[in-house]
Amino acid sequence: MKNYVRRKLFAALLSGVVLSMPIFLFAQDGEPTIKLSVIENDTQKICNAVVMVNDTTPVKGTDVNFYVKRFFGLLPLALTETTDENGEAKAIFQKQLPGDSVGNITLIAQLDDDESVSDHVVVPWGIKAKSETTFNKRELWASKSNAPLYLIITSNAIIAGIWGTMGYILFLLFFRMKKSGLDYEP
Amino acid sequence: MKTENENNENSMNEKADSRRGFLKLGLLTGGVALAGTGITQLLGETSENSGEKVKALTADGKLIEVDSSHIKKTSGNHSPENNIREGVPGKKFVMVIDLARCANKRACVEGCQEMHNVLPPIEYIKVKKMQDVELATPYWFPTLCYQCDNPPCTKVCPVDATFKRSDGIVAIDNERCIGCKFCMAACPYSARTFNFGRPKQVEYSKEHGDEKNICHTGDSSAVGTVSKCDFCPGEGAKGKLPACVKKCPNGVIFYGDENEDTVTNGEEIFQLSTLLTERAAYRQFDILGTKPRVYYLPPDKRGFPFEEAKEKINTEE
Amino acid sequence: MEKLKTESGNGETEIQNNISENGQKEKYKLMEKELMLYNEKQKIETEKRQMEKYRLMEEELLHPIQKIGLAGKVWIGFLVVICLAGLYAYYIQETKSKYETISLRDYTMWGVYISTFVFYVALSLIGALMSATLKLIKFEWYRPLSRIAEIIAVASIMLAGVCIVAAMGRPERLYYLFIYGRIQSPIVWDVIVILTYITASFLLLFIPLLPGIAICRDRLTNKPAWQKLMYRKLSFGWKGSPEQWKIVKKSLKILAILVIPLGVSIHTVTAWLFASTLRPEWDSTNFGPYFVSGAFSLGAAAMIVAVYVLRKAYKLEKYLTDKHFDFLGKMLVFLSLCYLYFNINEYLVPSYKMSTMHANHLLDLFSGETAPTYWLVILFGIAIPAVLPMLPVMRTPLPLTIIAGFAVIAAWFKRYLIVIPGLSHPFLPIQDVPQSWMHYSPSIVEMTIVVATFAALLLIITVFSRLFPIISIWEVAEGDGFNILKINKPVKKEQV
Repeated sequence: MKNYVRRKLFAALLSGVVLSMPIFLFAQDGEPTIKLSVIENDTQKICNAVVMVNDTTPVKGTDVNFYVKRFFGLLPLALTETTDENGEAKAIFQKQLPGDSVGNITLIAQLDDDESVSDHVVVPWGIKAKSETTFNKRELWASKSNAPLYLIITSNAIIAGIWGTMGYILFLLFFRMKKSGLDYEP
Repeated sequence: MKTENENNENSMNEKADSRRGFLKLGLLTGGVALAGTGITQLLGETSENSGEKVKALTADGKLIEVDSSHIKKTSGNHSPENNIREGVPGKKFVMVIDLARCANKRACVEGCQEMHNVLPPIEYIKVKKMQDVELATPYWFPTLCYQCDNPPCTKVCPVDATFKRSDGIVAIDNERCIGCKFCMAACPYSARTFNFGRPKQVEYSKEHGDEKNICHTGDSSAVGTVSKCDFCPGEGAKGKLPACVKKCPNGVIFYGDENEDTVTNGEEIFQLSTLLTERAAYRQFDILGTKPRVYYLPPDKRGFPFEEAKEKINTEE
Repeated sequence: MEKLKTESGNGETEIQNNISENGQKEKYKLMEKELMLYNEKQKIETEKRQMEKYRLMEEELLHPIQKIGLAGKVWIGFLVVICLAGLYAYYIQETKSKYETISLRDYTMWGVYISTFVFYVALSLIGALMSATLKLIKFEWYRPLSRIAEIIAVASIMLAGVCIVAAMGRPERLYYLFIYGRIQSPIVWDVIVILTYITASFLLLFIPLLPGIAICRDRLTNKPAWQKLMYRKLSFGWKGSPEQWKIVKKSLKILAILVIPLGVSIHTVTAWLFASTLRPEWDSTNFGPYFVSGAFSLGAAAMIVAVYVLRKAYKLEKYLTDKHFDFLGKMLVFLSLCYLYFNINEYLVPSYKMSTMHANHLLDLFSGETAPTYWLVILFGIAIPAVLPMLPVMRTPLPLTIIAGFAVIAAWFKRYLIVIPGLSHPFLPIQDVPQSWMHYSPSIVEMTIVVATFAALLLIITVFSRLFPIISIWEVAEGDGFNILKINKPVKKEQV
């Protein structure tokens, strides 16, 4: 009796191990991958991440985070989403975000457990970056070469007027004064 | 006799004439120099096209080709990639300070001093006790250079030593600064500090010479010149955060790029416009028209009670 | 009438013809001729007397140049010593740590150098006021005063520049202002307008001095060679020809008109150095006229002191008369009242509103730490000079000079009160700083340099008055009715 139970248990364990071996093997061989794509219709912009194992088996119940890539880090796009039986997690893109000069932004999907499992896609969903800059405008605070025109014109006009007058007096003093006295006999 | 005298006088007059000529020349140059200052401004630097083309990145991230003469020359020993007058291409640095989180830990002050090799009592970032209305509890108020978009300091600088860059940063060229301190008088936020040459500081700056220019705005410790918070553009260019942001234990200070509408304190990351809207952000003395690039989130719903500073700081001369 | 005309017009031959024609007419003619001769004689006599009078005047006005007494030498030596002390102080300031040698800190980054700079710019307006304005509105009593005013103007504007260099962190980079100057900066405006004013003031001093230099050249033959050479070179070949006088008169008229707007501009731009900042205590549209009116009242006060000292030291009572003190006293009253008006605008209006921005600063002045200085300055700088000289007895030389002397000292403190307390109350409170950062009081080095600039001002005036006539001889002579074309001849050799 005792032996029978022991044998039965062993057989069950063995068969369990044997049966589950392919799964274990599968799990060890196939790292989960994430594939990010976008769906865009008239009303919505949707980010769709598909988590698969060995590119064939969808993984259900894994948490996925969606981000927008920024210079100083990743800006979360939505709350964490969980994959369904197809291995899909969806996030609706609702943000008004600036992109590059043509409006491209980089979307990123990452596994919540393992940040190294990620995918990115570049989409033109951003706002075109403003190309206007006050950097080269003529402003009071701008550099010497970008001084406001009215300031340059008025200041030069005043300087020219006053120094012109004084130049005339200097001319009289240096070039006329002595000459005017040369022939004079008191 | 008479004729001889006259001859003598004539020859002397001739000599005098040549000397007078020199005087005349001097006076003339004086006048011309004055007029010249204005005229060169009118012409700007565009007058001398070199014909040499250089690739440059515009503020919106496009690569364009321009004549090399249009690229403003840097002064001193700055290499072109660290062009301190142009700024980091395509960026517009911005800061948000959450007053509800500040507990006067002063880690930002110390981190900044370490980063910029300055010793107390010089603080590029200060934490002040503020109380707007009598009945409310005071709050701690970190203040630094606001890198204003209509900078009063830059307006008054006589020699272009302080200037506004395309990335929004108001930087200082310490090799240009003549030490008139007009910018300090013009700044309504008292953000600027003068290198008076405090012996301890001079020695310290000398010892830490290798770490100089860490923020690419020249040797900010040069005695007789002005220095201030520079928003750590060297870090910002690499996508790293300024010292004050990194060091803050409470995540009070957020830093980012306005062009990307994002700010972060290293832990959390927010969309700038949303954060400013939701928390009713304001800028210090916005009424002055300086357009600061630093925003404050009001000290509402504070997570902890206000505590007075335990000891007096910077008492040593 | 017709006859006279013919006579004078056609000369003696015609007169002789007339004599032969008619006897009666001849007699009449003879009488007329005698009369003419008498008149001529009288005229020569008067001219001679006038010439003597003029020579005496020349003598008296050249006296300070002729001989420098012991007291004069000691005075010059004393001033030189103070100037050297100032130079040494500057050497210390520039070679040692400024954190230790001067009291300036981050909040009070402008101190006595800047306030003294403002004081000197204000003082330099004395030239535009005393010499140009009075000349243009033909106040005859300006004549002996104009040169004194001009030399004070030239000296003080030069020392204003010295103060700026002393205040600079990097004085060796001064020339950056010319090669990198930004036209947007009020400092650049100030540099331009001050250089222009220096030149105009210098010309306004130098051009009317030409006949005076010529007199020195011709009369002061006992002087050392370098001095004689200097007179010869600087007189620009002055012989007193009508054309030369024409040039002088023309240049003076142009310069007198030019120097008034320039004078107003330099002080207005100097006011803008403060008013163009966002600091509440300087944020005033009233600042330009407030500074200019202050400069004018300082000008009147400084003139009174200068006139008193010069007339005592050089015994010029005959030229700098009690009448001048009377006029200057009235002028001081008028200008101080103007200054009072602008002060009321500057302080009363903001203190009526008492906005939080202004409150700190204003309360500090009215009843705080700086209140004693503030009220003493109001009393001695504005109230007393505006009221007391209304009494004739107070317009006599000594009382007026005492009033004016206090007004000059108060004027310096007034600039101190504009610059320093204005900086001590920034928008954001001053916290967590060492004691010395909160309260500014000038260091020994700073005060030595400031005092040395005062000594330099006096030294420049003293040396100038020992080398050139401090009172314009020809201008006074012209005012006394002399014909300057005739009298100001170079002295012939035999006369010497």
